[in-house]
Amino acid sequence: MPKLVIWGNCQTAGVWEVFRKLPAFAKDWEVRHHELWASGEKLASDLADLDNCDVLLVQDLRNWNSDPRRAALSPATRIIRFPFCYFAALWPFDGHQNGPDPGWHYGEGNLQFGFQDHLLGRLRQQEPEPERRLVVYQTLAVEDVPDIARYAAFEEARLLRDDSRLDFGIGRYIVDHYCTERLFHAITHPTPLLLARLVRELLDRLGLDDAGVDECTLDFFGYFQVPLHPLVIERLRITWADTDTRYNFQNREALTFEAYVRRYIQVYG
Amino acid sequence: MTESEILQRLADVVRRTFPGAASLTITMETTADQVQGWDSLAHALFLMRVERALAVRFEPMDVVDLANIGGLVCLIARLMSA
Repeated sequence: MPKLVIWGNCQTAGVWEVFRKLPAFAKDWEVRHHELWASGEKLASDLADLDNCDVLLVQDLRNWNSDPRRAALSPATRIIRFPFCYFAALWPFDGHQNGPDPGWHYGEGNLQFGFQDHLLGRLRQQEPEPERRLVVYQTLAVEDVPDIARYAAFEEARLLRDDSRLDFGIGRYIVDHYCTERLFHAITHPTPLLLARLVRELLDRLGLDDAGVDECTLDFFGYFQVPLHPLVIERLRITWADTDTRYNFQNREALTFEAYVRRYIQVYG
Repeated sequence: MTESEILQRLADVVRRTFPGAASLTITMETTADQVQGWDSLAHALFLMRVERALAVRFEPMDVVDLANIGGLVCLIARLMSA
């Protein structure tokens, strides 16, 4: 039975979950997921896995260049690099690209924020009074915030260049649809719509049938949705959200943008 | 502005954007891989800061995957002389 390994971050765990259920793989393939952060016994097990790996799907991350699994690869393994899907301009203040919020910690229950907000962290000292901080954040009446439309232009260019470099089409799909369709729940977490698209492109590269993709693509990342800032909605002309849109918060509540920001300030001070 | 002056200004932006680069010597050969925190997620924010600091405007496709600081210096020099 041929073996396929998917290497990458949490986004690839979503791909793996779909692959495992697909008729194209269910009977005829062994499908494994290797998380890039694995260490100790898990890493040792991953390394052994690669001895007889037929196809390795590598998410396009810089981490791969120094990953110990590279040395364990058989020369016969077919390697396919594929895009890491994200669109940072929808969440221009996220900690991923701006740096962490030093006040953030991974809480519990309804205090558990899965993503950090760098700007709210920066404003903590600048605007100590919570209501004033909320207003400054809502209006972006603060120095050194990125031009949102310009940010989107750079992000669109990156997606199209990645398509060209990796011979994929998902970047074009994101560029054409991010304003009118909900493709992400958070900066790096795709919705089922985008995840299914990515799975289809991978199946196409593998020469496999895409039957069952829609049925097998669940909302793996929908449990925590980061609201869009109203000025992002306005400046990027987003049609799938408005200021009243509610976002799933740990499958416990559905919060508007303002309620989410108030909660963030309440939890982290 | 000379290429050396552009490099100096770029080095300031690199250090301001990526705290991990505070003590790093930035040269024409410096690449994003050598700067902690300078990944594809942070690249666009860095470019927008460069635009502001040097009063230039890039064509996004020209800068999304520049190989090193030297490439950016040359591009900025071209834009400034145009």
